[in-house]
Amino acid sequence: MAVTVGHATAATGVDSGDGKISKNAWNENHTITGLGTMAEATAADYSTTAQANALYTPKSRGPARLAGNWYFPESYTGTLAAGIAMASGIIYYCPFVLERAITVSDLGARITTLAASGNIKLAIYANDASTNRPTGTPIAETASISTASAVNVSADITGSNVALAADTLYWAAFWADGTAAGTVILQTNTTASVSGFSRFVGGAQDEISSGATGGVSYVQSSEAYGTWPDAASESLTVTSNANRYYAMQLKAA
Amino acid sequence: MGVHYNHEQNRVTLTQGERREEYTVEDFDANADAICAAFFIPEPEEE
Repeated sequence: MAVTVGHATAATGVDSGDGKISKNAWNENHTITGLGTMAEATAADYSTTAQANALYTPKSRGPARLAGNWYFPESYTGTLAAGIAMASGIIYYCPFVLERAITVSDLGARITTLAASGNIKLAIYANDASTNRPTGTPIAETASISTASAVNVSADITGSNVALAADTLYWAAFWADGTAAGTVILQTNTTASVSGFSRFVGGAQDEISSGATGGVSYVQSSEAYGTWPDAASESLTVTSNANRYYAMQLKAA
Repeated sequence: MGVHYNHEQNRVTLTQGERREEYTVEDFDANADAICAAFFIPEPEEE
């Protein structure tokens, strides 16, 4: 790191005349640049990119995530419930945060009530920090998964494995096709409003409490089943249903 | 017990305990209801 000391006034003629610097030049306050708090620093202030990344990348906590094992995001803190039916033509987005970075190869969920001839898709969206809502196209997504049996279901992520960062808000997205309307039920987290939405997204007081509105655990948008949309173009609405915090399972690569 | 899709390898794997069956995605999706009904043996309800 280079530190620069600047004089508020600069003497002229130092190298001429009697060779002395005016006392004003020395006595004026000096400005020192190049020092600052970590919060003020940018990546360019560090010697190497690796050094900057080490400081700026959110720190992982907890034990290592083992390749091949399945995990719930740590924001699922309650007990697992039988679940709630998915309506067709609606994408449900449930917020989650990971304590430890993980590279994911597959996404999964548990179907607790089957829907014959139906399908679901799973995805993960990034978060728009300015609005705390899902944005962009999915950073990870699956193709269709049959809902023909009430079992754990999973699918590989389309394309390459996806690295998810620690201490970063993501949105787990769940989508059922028309045939599965109102019948496929996915497992949920019972302490929904506390475990996800109210802790990381926030909202009006009655949206995070369990009062008259029942609390909130997700946002949704209306979209005919097909290609995952750009969430930034969706009309996202908050709906009270504390228990519709669908439980997304992540397989470590 | 579960159904796992590997679209990259065009394979669907059904498992229950030691039992295991594999299908192509097309074959499975075309007859998923019947395949699942025949393969999965109901287990006791969870507590």
